[in-house]
Amino acid sequence: MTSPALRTRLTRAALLTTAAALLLDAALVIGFEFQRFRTEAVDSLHTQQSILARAVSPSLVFNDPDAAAQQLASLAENPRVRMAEVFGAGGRPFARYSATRDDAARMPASNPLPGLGSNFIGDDVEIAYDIFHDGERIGTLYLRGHSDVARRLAGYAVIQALVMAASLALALSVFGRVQRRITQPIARVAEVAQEVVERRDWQLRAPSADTREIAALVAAFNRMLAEMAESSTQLRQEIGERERAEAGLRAADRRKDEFLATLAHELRNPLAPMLNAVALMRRGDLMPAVRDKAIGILERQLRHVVRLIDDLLDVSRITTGKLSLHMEIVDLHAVIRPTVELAETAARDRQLQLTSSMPEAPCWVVGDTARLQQVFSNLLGNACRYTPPGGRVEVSARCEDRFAIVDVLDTGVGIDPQMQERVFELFEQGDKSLERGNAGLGIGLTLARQLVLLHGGTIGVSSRGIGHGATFSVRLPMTAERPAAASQARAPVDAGSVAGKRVLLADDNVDFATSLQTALEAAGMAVTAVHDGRAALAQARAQQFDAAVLDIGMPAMNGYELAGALRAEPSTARLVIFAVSGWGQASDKERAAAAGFDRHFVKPVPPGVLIEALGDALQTEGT
Amino acid sequence: MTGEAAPGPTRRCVLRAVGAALGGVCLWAPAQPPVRPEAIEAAYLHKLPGFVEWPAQAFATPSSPIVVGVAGAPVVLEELARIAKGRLVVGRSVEPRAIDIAADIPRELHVMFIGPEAARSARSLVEAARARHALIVTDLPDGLAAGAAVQFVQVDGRLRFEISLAGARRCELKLSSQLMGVAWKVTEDGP
Repeated sequence: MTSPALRTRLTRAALLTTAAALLLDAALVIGFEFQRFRTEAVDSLHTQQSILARAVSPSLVFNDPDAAAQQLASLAENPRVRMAEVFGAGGRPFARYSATRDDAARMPASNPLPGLGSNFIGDDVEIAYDIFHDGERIGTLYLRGHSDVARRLAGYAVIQALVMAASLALALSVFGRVQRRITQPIARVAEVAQEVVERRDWQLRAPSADTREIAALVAAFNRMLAEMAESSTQLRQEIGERERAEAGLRAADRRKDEFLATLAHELRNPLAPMLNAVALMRRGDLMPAVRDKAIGILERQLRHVVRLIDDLLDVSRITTGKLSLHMEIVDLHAVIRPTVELAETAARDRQLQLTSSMPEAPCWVVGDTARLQQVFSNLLGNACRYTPPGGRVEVSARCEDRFAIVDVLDTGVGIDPQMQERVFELFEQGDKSLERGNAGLGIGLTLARQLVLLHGGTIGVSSRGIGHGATFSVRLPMTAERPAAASQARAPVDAGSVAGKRVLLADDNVDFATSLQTALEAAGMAVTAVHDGRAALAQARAQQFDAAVLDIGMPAMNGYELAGALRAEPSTARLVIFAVSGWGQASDKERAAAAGFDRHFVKPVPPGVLIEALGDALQTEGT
Repeated sequence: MTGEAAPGPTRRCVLRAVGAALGGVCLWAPAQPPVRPEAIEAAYLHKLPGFVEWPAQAFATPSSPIVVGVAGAPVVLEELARIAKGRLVVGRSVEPRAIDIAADIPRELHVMFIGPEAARSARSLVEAARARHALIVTDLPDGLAAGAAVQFVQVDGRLRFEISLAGARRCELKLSSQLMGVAWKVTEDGP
């Protein structure tokens, strides 16, 4: 440290001030004393002179120098007087006295102070005053003696020096004590500040002081440290959070990329067998067995693609909060049994042993049957997919303390314990190398978990690791309520009810329109197919129809406008109008209803479903 | 009375002028022209009352003059009249009187000088003066024996005086010790 410490500065300032004050005081006192000593010396000599003048005045009056000399000789009693001389009124020497021979040699021949008064020569003082008798000046008396001022001043200076030294020592001691109380806490604050800088330890605190201002400084410093500590912690937390968020974002981004690649792969996968099947079917000499096989391939692959897209749309709906559940009180048997039945085909294909065990009593839960089936279908699909041929898949349900628990067990590839939590995350899959051998986008489990959560339940997985199979458990809350009435058995659709019905079909997708037309005609309906809204309206005016199946997104006039126009015309106002659209959000359905559609179907819709719905609507219409 | 510090320049100048005037009269000044012995006697006569204490009844009032009778010394009388003019001694003016015979002595007399020319009537003058409690001064030889208190004498060419304490006592006078200090001789006994 090059600059002097506070302590040194304060000490220096205090000592300088004290010394300056003492010196000034000493100078003034010594100056004053010097004057006083001189005055005293003059006064003392003057007193002597007065007495002497009175004594020698008769000698002057009666002209007796001997008598005067005798009077002056009495000065020998006063060792300070060195010489004395009486001058007559005319200034001539009248009588004289000198203490020593040297002084005698220096006696003045005339009054050396013609102006009278006093004068100092070195340490000597000389005075001269006139002698009066009866108001008349009869002569002058001159005296010279030691003033003793120098000796007295020297003594005084010694005393002053001693006083000064004592005062300085006292000041130093008192100031040292005061200073310790001031500088030590400040020095401690500086040390703590230095330590904080070096060690980055914000928990350090400076000790308090008993001087009010210093205590305030220390308190402010400590408060500042506390605030720094707090903001530093906050900053670290924020940085940590940001880093985690960034890592999360990066991971999500990576997963999305992987997902897109997988999606592209998964969407393309079915295309090759479908193209092959189509190519087979174009051949004229097609054997019926080959044709059936080709159709089977087409159907399976199409179903697969449809399911992929359905799952994607569902995930999207759930993530955006747009999935609405049709909640009712259902028996878990009614959910699981059809799911297991559906999976049996796949299990058989893969030479898996599929078993299920259900409690005898019904398990009532509140849920959307279709969505719950979707959950178990996903789990079963996964189990079948990831279990090698010869393996075993088990579905077991039980009721346990107000919860219905469904376990789906397989003896498949298993899941690494580290992956077990993450398998439910969107686009997350197990070992990609294992995965590649099996179809899947990594969204089935995400969907299952979200659907279970929407039902107020939980889903979990346990696996003893790779190669040890896995068990997925779904826990759903049971309800004490029972369905109000037995679900009304729907009258089976009379296959003949749609026969001969006239249907207007409008879709700008020519393939879709043609394929649906074929399906409807196969059901006995008379179908007129057009490919835009205006043509559809023209047909509706030209002919009589029982029903209209319309696409929404069409050139020239869209489905909504077309439905509105049909409802506006008296001849077509009572038509049964269905929408079949790629747009399947709830808002799309609401808009369709507002435009005048009776029902809204989302592509792809199986022709059978559509025919059944048409049958229902036309039957109702007819009654 | 003596040894005052000079009070101011103006007054100091005046005093100095006065001093210069006196210088020739009462001070030893060998370089100056010789002064008449009578003049010195007159100056001494003028100063002597300053060292004498008279009985209380000697002065009628506090400002009564000091009456100096001079017998047989016309020059002294003349000089004294000159010196005394306008000067005070212990706050009183000095009034010289010419005395020829004892009958001339006034009712108030404070100093009686008997000069050489009055030697024959000295005895009667002494007696008359003694009755007035006057300080008897003379320059006659054996003056003290004749009853004087102060006798002028020439010593080494300088005018000095002898004192007879008995002579002073006889007139009920007290002489200052300062006066005694400058006297050439002081005698206790007397006639």
